[in-house]
Amino acid sequence: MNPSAPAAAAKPRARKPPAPQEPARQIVVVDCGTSSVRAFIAEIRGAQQRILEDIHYPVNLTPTFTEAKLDRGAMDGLLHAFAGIEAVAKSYGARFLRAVATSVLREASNSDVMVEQIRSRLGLELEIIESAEESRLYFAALRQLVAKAKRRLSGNMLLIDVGGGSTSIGLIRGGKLVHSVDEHYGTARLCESFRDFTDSTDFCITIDRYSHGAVSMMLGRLPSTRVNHIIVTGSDVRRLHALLAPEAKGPIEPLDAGKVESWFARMRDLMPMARAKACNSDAQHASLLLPAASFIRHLCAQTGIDVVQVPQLTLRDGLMADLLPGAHGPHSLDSSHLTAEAEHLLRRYGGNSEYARNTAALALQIYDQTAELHHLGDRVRALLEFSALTHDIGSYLNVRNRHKHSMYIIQSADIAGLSSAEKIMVAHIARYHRRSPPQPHHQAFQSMPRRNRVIVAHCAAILRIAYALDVERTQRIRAVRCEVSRGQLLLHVDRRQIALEQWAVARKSEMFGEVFGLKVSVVPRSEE
Amino acid sequence: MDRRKTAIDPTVAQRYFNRESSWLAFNRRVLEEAQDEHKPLLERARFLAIVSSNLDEFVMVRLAELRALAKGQAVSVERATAEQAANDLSGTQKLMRSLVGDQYRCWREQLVPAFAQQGYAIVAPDAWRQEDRDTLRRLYHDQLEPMLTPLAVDPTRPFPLVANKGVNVAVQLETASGARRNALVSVPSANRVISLAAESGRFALVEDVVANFLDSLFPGYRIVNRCLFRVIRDGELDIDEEQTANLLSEIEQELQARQHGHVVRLEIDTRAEPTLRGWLLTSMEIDDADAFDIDGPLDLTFLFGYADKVNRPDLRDQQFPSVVYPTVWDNAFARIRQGEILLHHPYQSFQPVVDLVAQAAADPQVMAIKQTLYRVSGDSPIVRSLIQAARAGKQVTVLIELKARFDEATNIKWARRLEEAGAHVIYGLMRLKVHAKLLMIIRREDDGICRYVHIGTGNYNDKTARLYTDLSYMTCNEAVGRDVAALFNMLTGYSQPPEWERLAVAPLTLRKTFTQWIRREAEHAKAGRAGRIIAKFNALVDEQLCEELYAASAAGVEIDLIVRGMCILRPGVPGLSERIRVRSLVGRFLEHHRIYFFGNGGVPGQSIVAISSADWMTRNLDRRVECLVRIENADLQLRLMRLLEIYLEDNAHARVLLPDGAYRRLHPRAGEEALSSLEMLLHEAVAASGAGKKSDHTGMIFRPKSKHG
Repeated sequence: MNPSAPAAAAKPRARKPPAPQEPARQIVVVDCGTSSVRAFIAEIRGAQQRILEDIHYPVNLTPTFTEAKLDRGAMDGLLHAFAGIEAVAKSYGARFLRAVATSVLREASNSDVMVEQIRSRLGLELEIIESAEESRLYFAALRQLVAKAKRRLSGNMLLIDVGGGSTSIGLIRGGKLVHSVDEHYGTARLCESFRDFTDSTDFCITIDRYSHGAVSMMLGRLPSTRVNHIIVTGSDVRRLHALLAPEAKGPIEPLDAGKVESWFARMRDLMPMARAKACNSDAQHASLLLPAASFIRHLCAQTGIDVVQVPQLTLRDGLMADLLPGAHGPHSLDSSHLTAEAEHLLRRYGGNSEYARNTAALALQIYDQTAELHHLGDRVRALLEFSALTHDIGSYLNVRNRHKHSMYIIQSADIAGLSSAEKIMVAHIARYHRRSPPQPHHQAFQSMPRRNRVIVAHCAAILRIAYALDVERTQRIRAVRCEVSRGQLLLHVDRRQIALEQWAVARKSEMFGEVFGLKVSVVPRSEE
Repeated sequence: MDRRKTAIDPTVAQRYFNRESSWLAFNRRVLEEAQDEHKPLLERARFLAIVSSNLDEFVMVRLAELRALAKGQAVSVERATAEQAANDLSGTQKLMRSLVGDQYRCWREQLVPAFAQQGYAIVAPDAWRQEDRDTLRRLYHDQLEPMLTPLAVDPTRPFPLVANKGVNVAVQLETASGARRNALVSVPSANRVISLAAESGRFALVEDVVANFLDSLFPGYRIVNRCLFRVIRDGELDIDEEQTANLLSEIEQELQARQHGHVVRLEIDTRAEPTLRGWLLTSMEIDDADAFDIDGPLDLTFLFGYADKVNRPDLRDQQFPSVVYPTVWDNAFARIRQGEILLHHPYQSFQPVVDLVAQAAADPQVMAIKQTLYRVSGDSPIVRSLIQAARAGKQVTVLIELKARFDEATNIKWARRLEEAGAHVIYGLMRLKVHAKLLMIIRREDDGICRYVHIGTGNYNDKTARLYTDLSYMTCNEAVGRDVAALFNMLTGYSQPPEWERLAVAPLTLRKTFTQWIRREAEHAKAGRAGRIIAKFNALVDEQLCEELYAASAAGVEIDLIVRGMCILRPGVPGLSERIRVRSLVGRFLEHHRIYFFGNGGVPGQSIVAISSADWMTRNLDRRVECLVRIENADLQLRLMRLLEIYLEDNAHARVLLPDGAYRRLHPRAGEEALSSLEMLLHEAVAASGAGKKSDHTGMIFRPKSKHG
C-alpha cells in the first residue's frame, strides 16, 4: 500500500456500456523466466485491456545454467507453477493465449520434455522464443508505454533487457527495431556461475570484469550507430532502480549512471550480509542487483550515455501489446525492420548491396504478380525479401557452396523479428536459390513442418528466377511483368538482348515448374 | 480525561503496563458490568458468566505460557528472563485471586439475593426439601448414573486423566475394615441447571446431584469425604508444522493431546477436606499457588444456561430489531454495483453477508468464490452455501484456519465437508494464522468480469455477529478486487506477494503501514499542522507501535484510542504520552471492530480511514495474515468517522485508562447530557429500520456532523 496516496473518494466502477459486437474475452499470457513464472490474467475487448490478475510464481531454474538441463525439482516447480496459474485462470474462465519461455528453456537440453509435460498434463502450449522475439515483445510493450505516458523518445535507442539468464540489446532506429543481439549474460546466471566467490570481494570484481566483456561484445555486434537513449528493463534492473531512486514512481523514469556507479563502488567491498542489509533485501536478491548494475555502468561508459531510462514493463506487457487491434502478432516486425536486419547482415558479410536489392526487388515483383497462384501473404513476402537480400552472403566464406554458407550464416545470426521456425525457413529459401532443389535426403529441409516446406519451395522457386534474371550481376533488368498464358509464366522485361537471362532462367526454372506447374519464359521488349 | 500528575518515570520499564495485568483489568471491567445494579439481572448474570469464560481462556493460554516461561520451558521475546516471567506470574496470580474473590462475592452478595428477590434460586443440597431429594434421586438413577464412571485411584491404578474444564467429584472411601482409598467421578457437562419443580423458580446444579447421590457407585464403601473440583489445562497445541505432512490429522491428534496438557489451575470447593485437597494437588502436581478455593458453584459459565432457564424477558436488555439492510437484497450483485456498502453489525443484520454467499452459490454467472474462514458457527449457512457452490461446479477456494484456537474441531469438520463437495481447501499457512476476513466472488457479466469483495473486521459467524460489533465492507472496486485476488493467490501458494493498492497485509506491510501513518502524523504536527489519530480496536500490546505513539504524542499529535481489552500503553504521562487518551467500552455487545483514522494534516479528503481484522498486537502484525483496507468512499469515510466520534462522546459506558493503570468510569458532569454510544447506535438503527426512514444507498445510519459535511 502506498501510504502517501491521496485518499480520494472511490468512485463506483464506471465502465462504458459494452459494444455488442465485441464481447469481452478473458485470456492468460504467461512468461516463464529463470526465477519466476509470471502471468497476466486479462480481459480484452478490442483495444481495451484490463489486467485482472498479475501473478508471480517463484521457481528456481538457475541450476540449469550449469547443468544444461532442467532437474527434477525445476520441472516439478514449473509444473506446479503452471498448474497454479491454470487454477486461477479457471476461476475467471480465462483461456491461455500465449505462454512463452526464454533463455533458460532455450538452453535446457530437455526442454522438449518439459514442454510436452505441460502440454499433456495441462493442455498448454509453452513456446520457447528466441531472444529476437523477446526484443520485439519488449519493443511492442515500450511503444505502448511511451504512448500511454505521452512521452517521446526520439533518435536512436538501445532497448536492453537484463534477464536472469540472458541479456538482449535491440537497436531502435527511426522508431523501428532494426537489429538485436543477445548474450548469455544474466543476473541469476552470473551469480550462479561465480557463487564460489560469493563470500569474497572477488565476487563483485569478477562480475564486473565479465560484464565489461559482455557489453563490449554485444555493442560490437550492433551496427555502428550513435545512441541517443538507453532503455533498460528486467526485474533486477527495476529493483535496482527502486533502491536508488525510490521516489520515482512513473511508468518510465531516468536512472543516473553516476548513481549506479557510486552504488556499485559501495557494494564492491561488502560481504553478502552487509550488502543485503544495505539493499534492504536478502543476500540472494541483493547479489542479483550486482550484474544488473555492472551492466548498466559499462553500457553507459561505452556509449557515453549518462542516464538510462527504466520503464515499468515486462515481457507480458509485450504479449498483451500483440493482442491490440492492428498488432501484427507473434514474431512480426514490419518488413522494413526485417529489411534493416538483412541489410546489416549484408554489410557485415561484405555483400553486394546493389545486386542484392535488385534481386530482392525482382523476386518481390514476381511474388506480387503471381499472388493468385501461390496465395501466400505479406508475412511470407517479408521472408522472401529477407532471403533475397541475404542469399549471397555465403560468398563471404567461399564462393563455392555459397548457398549453403548463406544458410548457415542466417541460421546463426541474431535476427530480431524472426521466430526460430521463420529463421530456418529464410535460411532454406536462401540455400535453395541455386544448385539442387530440396531432396528427400536433405534432412534439415525435411524436418520442417509440411506447411513451412511448401512456403520454402514456393519462395525458393521465385528467388531462383530472380537470381537468374541478374546472373550477370549488373542490375540490367530492374523490372519484370508477369503474364500467365497457356501453361507458361511469361516474364516480360524491358531489354531486347536477353539471351543470357533466357539461358539462366531456363536452367533455374525447373523448380518453379515443379512447384507452380508452369514453364517460365523470358520475353524481351522487341517481341512485344 | 484525568490528567493528574504521576510519579512515573518514562525512561524505564514503567513505559508499559504488564499485559496480563491489563487483561485482568479488562475482565474486571466485565465484572463491573455484573456488579452494576442498574443493569437487568439476567444481563448481570451473563456478564458474570463471561468473566468465568474469559478467565478459563486466559488461564489456558496466557497463564500457561507465562508458567512455561517462568519454568524455563519456553522462551519469549517479550520477557527477557525466566525470573521476570516468574515475577509476572506471581503478580498475575495475585490479581486473579482478587478478581475471582470479587467475582464470587458478586455472586453471593449481589446476584443470589437479586435472583431470590425475583423468586429464583440455585438451591444448595443442604436446602433441598424432601420432595426435591426424591425428584433428584430419581433423576440421578434414571439419567445420570448410567453416564458415570467411578475411577478408583490406588497403587495399581494411577491418577486418571481429568478432562479439561469439566467439573469432577473427588471422594474419599473407607471400607468396613477402615482402609481408605480415593476415587474420582466426572460430572456430565450438559445441562448443568436442573429445575426442581416446574415454574417454581428453584434449581439445582447437576454436580451437586451427582456428589450427593453417588454412594451407589461404590458398594461396600462408605464415603468419608467428597468435594467438587475442576481443572484448567494448558490449551496450546504442540504442532511441528515443518514436519507435518497432514496438518489436519496432526491437529486432530493434538486436540486429543490437549486433554493431557499441564494442569495450570485447580478450582476446588472451599469446603473440601484438607487431606482430599492435598491429595488432588499432589496427584496432579499442582502448586498451591495454582489452586483456587471457590466459595460458590464452580465454573459460573452455567449462568448462560441459567439465564435461559429463567426466561424472563423483563430481566434482560430490551430487544431491538437488527436492521436488515439493504432491505431489498434479492440481487446482491446489482446492489453492490450501485455503490459500496458498509454494514455495522449487530445494529445492522449480518444476513446480507449470508445472502451474498447464498446468491453467489446459486448464480450461474458466478464462476468462483474464494473465502477465508477463521471461526464459523457450528451450523454455518455460509459454509453450506460454499458446499452448494462447489457441488454446482463453481470453483470454490476456502482457506479454513485449522489453528484457530478452541475452534479447531469445528473447522476440521467443515474442512472435510468442503473437500468432499469438491472445494479446494487450504488448511492455513506455515507458521502463520490466517485471521483476515475476506470473501471474493468472481462473476462474469455482460461487460466482463466483475469481482465482488467482502472485507470484514469479524468472523464469518452468523451467531457471534449478533453479539459482536463488527463492520462489513462490500465493494466491486477494481483496485480492491485486484488486491484481494492477489492476497488469495498468496494464501493459496500460487503467487508471490505483489504491491498493494488499497490493502495493507500482515505480516508483509501492515506494521510498516501503521508506522508510516503514525510518523506522518508526527511530521504534520512538527510542521505546525494538525496531527490526529483515532483508533478503535481490541488490544494494544505491541511495544514498537507504542513507541511510535509516544513519539507522535511528543511531536504534538492528538491521539484517542478506544481499546476494549488489553492496553500496555501508559497514557497521559507528561513527557511521554500526554496527548494520548485511552478509553475502553464494555457493554451489551462485544466491541470487536477495528477502525483506524489518521488525519493526514487535516486537509479535507486527505485523511485515512481504514478498517481491519488486526489489532495492535505483535501477533497480529507479525504472526498472522491480517488485512487492512483503506476506505476511500467519502460517504463511508464520514460514517466511520462519525462512528468513532460517537464512541469518543460516550460518557455512560466508557472508562478511561489512567496513567497508573486504573480505569475510571465516566459519568455525565453536572449539566451534561448522558451520551451512551450503545443507545445512540441502537436508536439510530431502530430509527433507520422504521417506515419512512430507510437508509440511503450508502447504507448510512448516522448523519455526519456538520463539521464534516
